[in-house]
Amino acid sequence: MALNDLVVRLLRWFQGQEKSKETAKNRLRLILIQDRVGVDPGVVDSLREDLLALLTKYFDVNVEEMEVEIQRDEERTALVVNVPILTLKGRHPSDFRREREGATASQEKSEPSPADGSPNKGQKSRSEGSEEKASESSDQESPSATTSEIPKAAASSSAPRPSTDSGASSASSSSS
Amino acid sequence: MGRPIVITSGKGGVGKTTTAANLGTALALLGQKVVVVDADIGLRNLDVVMGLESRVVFTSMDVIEGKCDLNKALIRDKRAENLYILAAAQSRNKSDVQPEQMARLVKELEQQFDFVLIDCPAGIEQGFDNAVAGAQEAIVVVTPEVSSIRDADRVIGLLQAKGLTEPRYILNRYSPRLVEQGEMLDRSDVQEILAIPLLGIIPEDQTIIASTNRGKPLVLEASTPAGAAYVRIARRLLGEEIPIPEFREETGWSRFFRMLFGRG
Repeated sequence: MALNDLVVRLLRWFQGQEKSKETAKNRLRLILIQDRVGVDPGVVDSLREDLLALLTKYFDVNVEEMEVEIQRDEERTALVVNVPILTLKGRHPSDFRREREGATASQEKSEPSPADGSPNKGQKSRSEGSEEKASESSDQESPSATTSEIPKAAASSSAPRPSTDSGASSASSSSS
Repeated sequence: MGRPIVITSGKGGVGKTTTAANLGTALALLGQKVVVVDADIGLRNLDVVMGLESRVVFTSMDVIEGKCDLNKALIRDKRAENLYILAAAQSRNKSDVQPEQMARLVKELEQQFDFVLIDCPAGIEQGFDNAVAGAQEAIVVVTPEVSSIRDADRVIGLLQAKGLTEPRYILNRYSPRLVEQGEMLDRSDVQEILAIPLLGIIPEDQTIIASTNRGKPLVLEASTPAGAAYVRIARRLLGEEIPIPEFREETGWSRFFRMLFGRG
């Protein structure tokens, strides 16, 4: 037994190797950090749905390319949400306020906000007609019906607005 | 009313059944009325580990399905007073039993016994749900290895989610020699990671294999380190305050070399 010990110790000493116990401990620490934040996929799915419900109140988002995921590396874990925006839905802060105060939907529609007007001005894309209609009708439109075509129109119309399907706009939050 | 305790681990092969058999036997030898329930439907082993395989006629499944009376399915272990086992059906699936049925069965056993030890199958699926269903306490068996500790950590979370908020663990197959060489996680490493109360440590003991070969739980044999450790755990379960000894295996020579090379 003592001889075994000696051989093990000598070998390790010569090789400058870390004791396997230390390796095990370090590995476990990392594994458990990851395991403990392991999120049920169902949770991410329902988060995605809730986010979508919230975001579609404000933006016309590309539902198919919306990404919601938990990303991990050795140091931290982050919730990464990437939501390509198609168009702002013609909403303006004042609209939201009014809505909260109980204004009807028809009132909102009759008062075009700056964001509402802009898509109509600089329209350069090929298939103008349908898309204009989509953005004009603002909040009353069916949210994702025209998603495949809207991006181009939106991109060309208003410069400051990050849009299109290339994932220009994203929100992320992180926690460690 | 008896105490229903589930013995679980997540990972397979870490000594759940051996622990259930030995703790059950030790508790019975200490005067308790004990039943050990094999919850591993389809892969039953408790009967074999306890050497009672030839006496299995009815199983928990027969009781649940109303095919026989509970007392008819209980197998008495004659080597200790008031020690019984309830075997699992071998030719059935875990999905053939629902947690509520298992909970009802355990409730019934509680009326008759001081301890109802439930030997949980490996895994965290339905078999686990069934085994945990009727339990009010949980013992997690862990070996000082990365995979076992990882699984134990997961299982502890699951137990707590199921209302078994105070699980305790048994550190099994602890090798003082390897710990001294720095080739095994020591008790403080494991404690730091799992952060739940330690119920006891079972030192690595070659005689376990012989005892399983014979179907004779270690605690029935002449005192061995592991057998003695199981008896201490049984006493702790009964509320006795027995300190966990430092398991040391250090000859004069190994101490000499440890001092010589420092890093021990």
